[in-house]
Amino acid sequence: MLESYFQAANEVAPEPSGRLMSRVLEDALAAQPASEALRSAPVVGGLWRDFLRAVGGWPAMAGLVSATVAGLWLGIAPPAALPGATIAYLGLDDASYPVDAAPGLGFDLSEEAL
Amino acid sequence: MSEESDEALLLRYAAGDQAAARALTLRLTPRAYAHACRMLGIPAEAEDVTQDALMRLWRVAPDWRPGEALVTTWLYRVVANLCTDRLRRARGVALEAVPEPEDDQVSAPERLQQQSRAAALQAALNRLPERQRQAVILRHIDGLSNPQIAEIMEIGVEAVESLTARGKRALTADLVGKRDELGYTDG
Repeated sequence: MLESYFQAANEVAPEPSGRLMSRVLEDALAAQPASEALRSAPVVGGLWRDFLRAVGGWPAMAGLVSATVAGLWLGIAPPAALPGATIAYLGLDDASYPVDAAPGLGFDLSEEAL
Repeated sequence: MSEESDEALLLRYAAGDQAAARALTLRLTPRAYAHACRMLGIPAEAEDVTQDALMRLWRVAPDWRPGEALVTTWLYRVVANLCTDRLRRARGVALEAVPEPEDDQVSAPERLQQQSRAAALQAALNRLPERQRQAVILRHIDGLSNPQIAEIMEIGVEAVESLTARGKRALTADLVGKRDELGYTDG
């Protein structure tokens, strides 16, 4: 006789409400430890923030990026006049010769070129 | 494809996997709630116990030691302990007078009869001593093995057998008087 009662109890088993399921899931997510990826993210963000602060923030970063791009462009495709101007500036196209007026400084321009 | 174990999900939960949090919630909440409902007979109280028991599981997850115990065994034990605490605090309240869970659906006569039988069983379970009630529910409604029940109740297997046998005798005696009332003629 009891088996039929147990069977009935199983067929009309109490079921949790959607509200209870939501509460339990909210608890689970709130109590969940952060994943490894999430734990490492603030470290990367912190380093980047420190770097930005050190160079003077986003405006300075924009200047740095512009200068880098310009330098890269000059390296790849230098203007046609630049080599000639450089040679003229350094005075290497005539008979002048470099004078090391201050040997202690290591590098000096030719005085004639100036 | 075999279903991922509760323990594997719990370890993934502890590693921060939100999908594991959802899977465990869907899998364990109905079991904890049904057991709490049968132990307490009061749905609102069973909801609180369920939420409390699962919160304890979420908190213990990072320190879970694989292979030491089944997650369900641990959870049943926590649910049972929380229910026992509540029953002791509420001693003196006529649990058999607790209203049955509401069901808005229009039921077929057969389902009505099943509901009547389930309600009669619940009322009879409420009149059992706590330990007998717990053993009978775990063995005959939740369908657990005697060794697992022994682990949950922290007693020996013989003690489980003794509790379920005494519980079933008391239930039978209690329910015999209800048979005619419920139209129960099939034994």
